[in-house]
Amino acid sequence: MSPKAVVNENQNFGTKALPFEAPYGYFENLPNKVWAKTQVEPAKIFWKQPTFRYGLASFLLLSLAWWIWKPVSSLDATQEELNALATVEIADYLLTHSDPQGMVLMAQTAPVNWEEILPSHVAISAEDAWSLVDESEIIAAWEEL
Amino acid sequence: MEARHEARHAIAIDREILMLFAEESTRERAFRLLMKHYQKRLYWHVRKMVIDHDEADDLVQESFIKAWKGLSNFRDESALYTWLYRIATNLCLTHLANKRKRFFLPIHDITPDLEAQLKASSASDSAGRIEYKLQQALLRLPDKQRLVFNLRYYEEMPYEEMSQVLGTSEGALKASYHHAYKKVENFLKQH
Repeated sequence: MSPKAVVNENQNFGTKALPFEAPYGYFENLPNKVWAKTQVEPAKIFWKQPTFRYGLASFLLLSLAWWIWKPVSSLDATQEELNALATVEIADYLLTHSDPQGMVLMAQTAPVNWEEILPSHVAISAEDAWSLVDESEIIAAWEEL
Repeated sequence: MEARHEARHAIAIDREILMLFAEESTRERAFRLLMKHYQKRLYWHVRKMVIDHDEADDLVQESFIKAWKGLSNFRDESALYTWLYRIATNLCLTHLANKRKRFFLPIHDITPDLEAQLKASSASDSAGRIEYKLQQALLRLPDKQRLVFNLRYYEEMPYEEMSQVLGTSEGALKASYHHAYKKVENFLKQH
């Protein structure tokens, strides 16, 4: 039989009824149930919300700005913090230097350009820098060499 | 004659729904009208596919919500009800496919599950009745053949409209119905 012939086939298996029913009153309540659901805003996905996006953008911008301006911010550090930072830099310089006495002597005749040695963000004068150096310790260290 | 009258009536209802939907103030009326005219047809269409009432209820609600949200994009190229059927049909097929794929296990035969639901949904004295046997026979068909059979046999939907709902050519639908019909016939002869 060709598929076309099916159209004219007797399409009756004895019934078109179904063996199951819808619960009583179901169709009366359905429109209200569905209407209520159409009025509810769909669950918001937090990362799609403008508040989250603006927040994230602000955070990233602030992080970038902080990273760029971080060295400058140390200028705002307290004098104590600044001195500690300078001491570390000076000690590092002197320890890597092979002739601390010569260094001290050289400094006495031709003052060290501390501005060159110290990182640019360390706001300290050459005078203050020398005040942080314990010359006797340097000389003792040199004598041990 | 009656079919033509029904079709004209359906077109008039669709127009009224779309007209009411266009105005913000009459939108709820459009929704009520949509539900009034299509909820039963859509429910029985879905129920025949998934058998269980609760599952059918969920799918019907989802279909109407989807349709309502997409109504502003509805193109007047097809009847509103074929569009609704398409939404519900796709949801049904996805639902049945998901049931088969549950728990990442190999494709699972859901015929026994559907039969169990059929038994639970039907009246206790219906087991020997022809409508029950017919459903048993249908549950042995592939989903798409079952769909075609339901639309053609129960709803007497013209092949042209079925083609719009299922996105399949009329020839393929006729062949599919023919195969389904033969399988059902054989099952009923044997049982």
